[in-house]
Amino acid sequence: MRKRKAVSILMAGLMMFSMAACGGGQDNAGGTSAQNVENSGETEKTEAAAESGDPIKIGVMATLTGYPLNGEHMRNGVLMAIDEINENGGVLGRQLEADVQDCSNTTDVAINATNKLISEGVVGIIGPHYSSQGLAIESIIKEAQVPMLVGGTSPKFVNECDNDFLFRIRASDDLQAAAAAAYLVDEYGVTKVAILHGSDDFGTGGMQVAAKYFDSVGVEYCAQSFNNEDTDVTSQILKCINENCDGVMIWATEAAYPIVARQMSELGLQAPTITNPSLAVDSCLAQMEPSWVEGWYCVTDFLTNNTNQEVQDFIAAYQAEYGAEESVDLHCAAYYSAVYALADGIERAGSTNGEDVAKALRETKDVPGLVGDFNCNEDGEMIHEIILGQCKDLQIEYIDVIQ
Amino acid sequence: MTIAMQLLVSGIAMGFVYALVGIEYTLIWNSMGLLNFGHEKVIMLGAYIYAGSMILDMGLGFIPGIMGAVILVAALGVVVAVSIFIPLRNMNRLCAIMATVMLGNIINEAVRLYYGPEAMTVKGFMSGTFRLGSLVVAKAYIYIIMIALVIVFLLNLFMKCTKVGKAMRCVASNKTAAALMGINVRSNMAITTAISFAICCVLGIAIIPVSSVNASMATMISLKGFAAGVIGSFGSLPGAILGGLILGVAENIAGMVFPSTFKDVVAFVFLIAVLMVKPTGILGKRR
Repeated sequence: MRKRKAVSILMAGLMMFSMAACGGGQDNAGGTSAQNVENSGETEKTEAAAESGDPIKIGVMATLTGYPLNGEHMRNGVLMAIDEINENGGVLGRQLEADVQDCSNTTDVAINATNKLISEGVVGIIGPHYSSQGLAIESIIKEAQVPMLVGGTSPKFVNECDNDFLFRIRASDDLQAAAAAAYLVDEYGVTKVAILHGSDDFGTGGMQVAAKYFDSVGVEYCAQSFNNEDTDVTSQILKCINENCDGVMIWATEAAYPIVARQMSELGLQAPTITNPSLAVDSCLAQMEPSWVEGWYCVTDFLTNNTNQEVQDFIAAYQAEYGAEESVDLHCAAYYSAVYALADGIERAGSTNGEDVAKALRETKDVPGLVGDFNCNEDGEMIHEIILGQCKDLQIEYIDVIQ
Repeated sequence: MTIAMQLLVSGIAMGFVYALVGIEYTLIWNSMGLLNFGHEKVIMLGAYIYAGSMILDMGLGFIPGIMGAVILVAALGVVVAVSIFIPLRNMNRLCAIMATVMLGNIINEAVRLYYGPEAMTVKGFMSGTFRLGSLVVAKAYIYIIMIALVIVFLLNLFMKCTKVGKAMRCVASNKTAAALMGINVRSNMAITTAISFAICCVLGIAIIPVSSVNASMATMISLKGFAAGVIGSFGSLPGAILGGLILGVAENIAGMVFPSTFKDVVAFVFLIAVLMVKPTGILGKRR
């Protein structure tokens, strides 16, 4: 009996330690003052209280656990923007405050995090980064009337969602994937394209846009999907080789790139290749051998070697805040800019009421951002340009901007 | 023909990966009657210790790095066995499984806090290809097959020719009788866990070239390894190997014949089919 009791205590201890460790990722804010580290029990904030001069709470949905991990960069960018805005007097005379929640890159955790943020009275939500989670929670924010600025680029946000509270702060796959497909056709005159894509919403969405484009110009394609966790894509690549594909388009998250690039190189699928922005992420490139991806093209939102002065100033400020060894990528840049777009919306709305803020966000025009200027269209899309880059010795070189 | 050979080689390599997962599951199951659902994270931990600590931090060579990582993870196995697995073996099975899942979570978060959130890799490790005419095979697959064969051979030798190995088989067969014969069951269980953890570590290192070192690197292979164990015959080492090879080759061929989306479905369709037709597995005895 005593033994059983001891084991029960041990089990309880294990669970508590595990939960504490899971929460550990959220308290490392990199020295900024913007994050709300205390989850108070104020679940029912009245409008009157919100207008009284309390800080304006902004929810952040970041992938702080799970894989691929980009939530820390995203959080850093958001907190940096909030600090800057607060130093300049805040919004509506009030300070901004971030409530960062981990969405763990899974839809069920993202749904719980959204409900928590809404119950804590956030004025708007920044993130999540991935389409599958954004799609899973869009109906919740619509019902709660809380504007959400997502980084997901799946065409489903436009084709399947009728949501006035949903905004996208990165160029959609309708633009990105179509531009990538068009580049292969126009620049290389390909006749049959291998589309290697993730089997999630993001990868499938990109494949569908590209397939539609290839159909429209009469170019054949061979679409092959894989899970982002797969350790072997031999059969998919051999199928593409067997079909004599003379161009390759890859649309997947960062997690899939090292294995796909390595196996393409080993099995000899060598043809002009263009990818989604994942290739341009430093942590993704760090896992590659130069020969695997030399000469590959990618469409992306953000490049650190972009000579634009605002971009270079941001990189300098980011590394001053978080350390020179900290890599700067589209996650910190895109969500840094998203905070400014949301703050601009709140300021123009003159209120923290969700409906007013959403209405103001729909009228966003020429708000400067690091991934392009924010101009909202009727579908809630705020960015309408992308960068074309090429990989040379594991560096993505800037080629052009596509509007 | 060339394509069929390439599919066969990569299928056999992945099959051996699943087989090793099945073997390390089976060792702990036979010894303690415990399903270690935290093993996926032990595989990941082995890869992180090798890549993050031994190679990138300490700058050791590939072989000393592997030895260092295996010794560390095996030592962790002894600690886990003594502090968690052995006390848990007499508990309600559901509680014991929950505890192994929590152990996996603890390892996962500890790795994330210590090594950071970003994936890593060991450049040049088991990379490159062998070419035989038009047949191109990644060296990683050949190494994985060789490593798995060596592990299976050594494990077999250990079980049959050493006193400790024989004692492990006795404990697996009948713990009470083993204790009455003078075998120290607790220390035997600790050794079994250490061997199981060492296999996890080697497995984690072996799959670095086919998967970068990241938190979810072993998620899919551990699920399929479990399926391989059940398909072959759960609790049987030859069964785990047979199940793994069947799965590895079948899913590769399925990926070529059917739309690629169905590739991963194969393992689990096989699992359900075997459970319905012969629940004891292909090598299992009919009840």
